Order: sequence, then structure tokens, then C-alpha cells
Amino acid sequence: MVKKKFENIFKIYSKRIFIIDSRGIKISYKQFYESVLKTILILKKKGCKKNTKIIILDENSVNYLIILVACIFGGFVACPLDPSIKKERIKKIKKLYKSKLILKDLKELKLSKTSLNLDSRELNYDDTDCLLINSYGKNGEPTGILFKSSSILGSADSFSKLAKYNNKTVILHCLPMFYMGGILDTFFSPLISGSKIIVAEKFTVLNAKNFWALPIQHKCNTLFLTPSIIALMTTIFRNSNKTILNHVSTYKSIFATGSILYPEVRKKFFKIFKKRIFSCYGSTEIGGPLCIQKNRASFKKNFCVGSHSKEVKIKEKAGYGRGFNYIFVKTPYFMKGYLTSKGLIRPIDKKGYFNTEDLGYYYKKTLFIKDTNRAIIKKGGELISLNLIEKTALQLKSIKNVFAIGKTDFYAGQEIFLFVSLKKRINKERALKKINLILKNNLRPVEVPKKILFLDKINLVSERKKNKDQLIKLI
Amino acid sequence: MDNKKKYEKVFMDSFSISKDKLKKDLKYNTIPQWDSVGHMSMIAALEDAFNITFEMDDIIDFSSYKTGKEILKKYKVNIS
Repeated sequence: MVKKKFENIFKIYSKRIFIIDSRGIKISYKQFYESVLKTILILKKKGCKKNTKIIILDENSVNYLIILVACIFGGFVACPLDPSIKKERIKKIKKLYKSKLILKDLKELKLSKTSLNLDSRELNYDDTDCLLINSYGKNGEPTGILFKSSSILGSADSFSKLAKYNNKTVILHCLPMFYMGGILDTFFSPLISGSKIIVAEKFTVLNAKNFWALPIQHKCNTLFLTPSIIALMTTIFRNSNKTILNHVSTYKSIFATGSILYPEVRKKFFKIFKKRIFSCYGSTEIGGPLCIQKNRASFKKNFCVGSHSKEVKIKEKAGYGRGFNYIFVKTPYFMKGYLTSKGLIRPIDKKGYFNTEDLGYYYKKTLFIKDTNRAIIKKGGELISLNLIEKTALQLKSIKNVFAIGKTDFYAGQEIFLFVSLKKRINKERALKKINLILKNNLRPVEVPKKILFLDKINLVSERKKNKDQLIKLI
Repeated sequence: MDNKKKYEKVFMDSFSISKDKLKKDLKYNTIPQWDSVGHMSMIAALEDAFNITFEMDDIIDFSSYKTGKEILKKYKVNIS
């Protein structure tokens, strides 16, 4: 039923422009839907069946978005991966997912050359698995966060109401399409509300100069940025011209998503652009974003991530003292489970709550997030497994113990530091070269620590935050 | 500390690299640490070190250790 309702979106808004790509090519809701049907045919020809897991390993494109929807209606499971992941890790992920198809170049799908003869009755309307997001377990091994279509579409619908998307919304898509920010906040949610999406290139310093060209041209009125992009903008555009400032003043909403928006970044953006940025909060496991700041009063409160919809429940449990409680969430859009080598794991308590391991407090139905106890941090909006970094370094026999931490950073959000203690009589300089090499060869560039610090001994307790609080003083 | 040493120090501190890495004209995105985020941290450190404010085009065009020296000349900072 959820899929039928979703399919109707394409009929209701049939003639409306849905997507404009970076070259200016316009795609209506009808054209997009037809491309989805063609893609299902192509994927079926490639041997995809119900529950086939399709790894997507390419840069942002409109075809990427088409495949995400094709997986929903085809009954397949989209498995987006960061294209910068190293080959060895892709092999491990492929084995875990039991995936038989990796799509590396989405242009090769040749959508325009495929004739449309798929009967819509062949579409899969069951509530099947549709999305598997890559993550890492406590041992640093890959896991997948698996979702059913009802969770993804339900969460998208709920968030589109929270963010007040409608058919007048014009949203810029500049976030990576391999994680929730680029999938749910800036794709499924605007889709469900009949919005228009302007697909831009993924934001980097190199293309930053022209960042505002597309939004100005297409009169965007809604923007989703990671705190890192916001921080970069506050330096790159600190002497913005009138055209940019006038354009920014027309925005209905600018949201920060993906990680904590630090007060200094928020204040600097306001000083330059005279526009408020509102925070969102969510995590992949709970189906993406579930809280959003809605009013000016909440803007004045540091670390406030706003309020949530009625169907979501939040509770806190004492953690590290005042203001640092564990945040538990109960939501109908929760993942089906973690896909691990031992099977599917669904970590909820007896009352259905999930421990996010994020730390903050919940007051008068408003959530505040200040830190996390997770071994997964967010750097530049991307999920980084500290366990994976530690495990990679520990491959060297000269290392006795390691501990990785994320430290607050204006641009990165969290910057990674790796503490290392060596076995006796090991030359530190030589060890440093070896550690740097093994990290560079096995990790994505974004996962490589900013600095490696040597300690004679690392005494660790079971709580990550306690270890972090102790070691962070040494940086 | 002379300008050359200051310049080298910013690179070494921002990217946690040794001096020998700078000899081969280090470029943007050739080491994991010099990504968009690392780039901006380095720019902020250079601005602090030389008490200057880069223009937008110069921030974006600062694509290598060598190019950076040329850009700094515009701000009357000579790295010999």
C-alpha cells in the first residue's frame, strides 16, 4: 500500500519538472518514472530478482537517484557505497551482502536506448527490503544497515512534513548520494512532496567558486548542507557579493544535516549571510532525520536540534552528568536490522527503544545533542568508524595498543587523532612511516587520522567517551 | 622565524607530514590529509601565520605547495 501511494506521486505531479541536472537538463516526474521502469527492465536483464543486492559505486548523478527508486519498485536492494572505498574492503562488503552486481558506471545503463515495455503490473508492491547502507561494527568489520521500503518511504513522508516541503519547494542536492543526507533529506522527502530538485556536483573546495550559480539560476528556496560545507562557506564566501547575499536572503529554509552544527559555525554563517541555519538530527539506523529546528527561539539555544513528529518517541537515560544523557529513540521507521556476518541484528530494548549512543538531553519535547559515545563519528558529514581505524593500525605487529578519537574541529566537525603505544625497543620514526602507509593503503582518504600521537602506555576503560575525555587533553 | 620556515611549518602542522614531502611540490588531494577540509585548515593557518586575508579566488587556486608561494607574493609575502 505504501508503494502504491508513492507511485501516485508520479501520477499526481506527472507533468511537473522534478529534476534539473547540472547541465540544465529538465526531467519531469513522468519522465523520471519511465526511466525507473526502464531501469527495472535493465536490472532484470542483468539477472536481478527480488532481494538482489545491487552495489552502487559511482559519483552523484540523476541515474543514481533513478536506481534508488527502481530498487523500491523492482524489489531489489540498493547498496550505495562511497566510491573512494579501497578494493579489499569492497570485496569484504560484497561477500557480506552476497551481492552479485556492482554498478560502477551508471552511464553504461544506456537508459535512452531501452524501449519501455514493462507492464506496471509487474512492479513489486510488497514491503520488501530496498536499501542497505554501509556501516561498521564494534570489531571494525563491515555491516549493513538494512531498510524495508515502508521505513524509507514512511520516514521520507514524515520528514517532508517536518521540513514543510511542498510542491513549491526547490531544493539543491549537493550531498553525497551514498548516505542518508543525500538519499532521504534531499531526495525521497522532496520527491514525496512534489518538490523540484536541482542536482549539483558534490561540494568540494575546487567547485566551491561556482556553488551559488545553480541555486541562483533555478531559484532554489531550500538548502541542506553539512556543517562542514557551511564552515567552508564561511571562509570562501566571507566577502560575498550582493547577488549572492540577495539570493540567500530569499531562502525559506537552510538546514544543517549529517552532524552537530557547532555554535561558532552557525554564528559565523549568520554574520556573513544574515540568514539563520536550522539544525536537524537523525542517524541512519533510525531512518534518517527525525528532529528539526522550526523556530527562532530554538535557534538561540546551542546544540538544539529541535522537535520531532508525533509518531517518534524519545527518552533519556543518565550518562555522564548534567547535559550528557544517553538518547534513546523509538520510531516506526527504524531499520530492519544490522546485516552482519552472524545474520541480522535488531538492537532495541523491550519497549522498542534504540540507544543512539548520542549524548545530550531532552527537555519539553525538544532535543539537544552535544556529543556521542559511539565508535562511529561524523567527519564532514560522513560516517567514520574509529574501530576500523584502530583495527587497521593494529595489523602492525610493532603496535601494543591504539585508540582513535574524534576532536571538535571548525571545518571537519570532528577531526581524527590516533593514539599509539608501541612494543618495547621500536623506533618511533620508522613505526610512524609504517603506520601512515598501512592507514593510507587501507582506509578512505577521509578516514586517515590528522595526527598520530605516541604514548608509552594507553589505559583504556570500556566507555569510549571516558577514554576520549582523558586523551583529548594530550593533543 | 623566516617566511620559508613559517610556510613549511604550516604545511607540516596542517597535514602532519615531514619536510621531505614538501620537496616534490605537494599538491591538493595527493595525500589524504589535503582534502577540502584540510585545505581550509591550512588556509586559516597561513592567514594566521602571515597576518593576511586571502581572496576567494586565491583560496580555490591554492592547489599546490609551489603555487601557494606564487599566490603569497600577491600579499607581499615572499617565500625564497
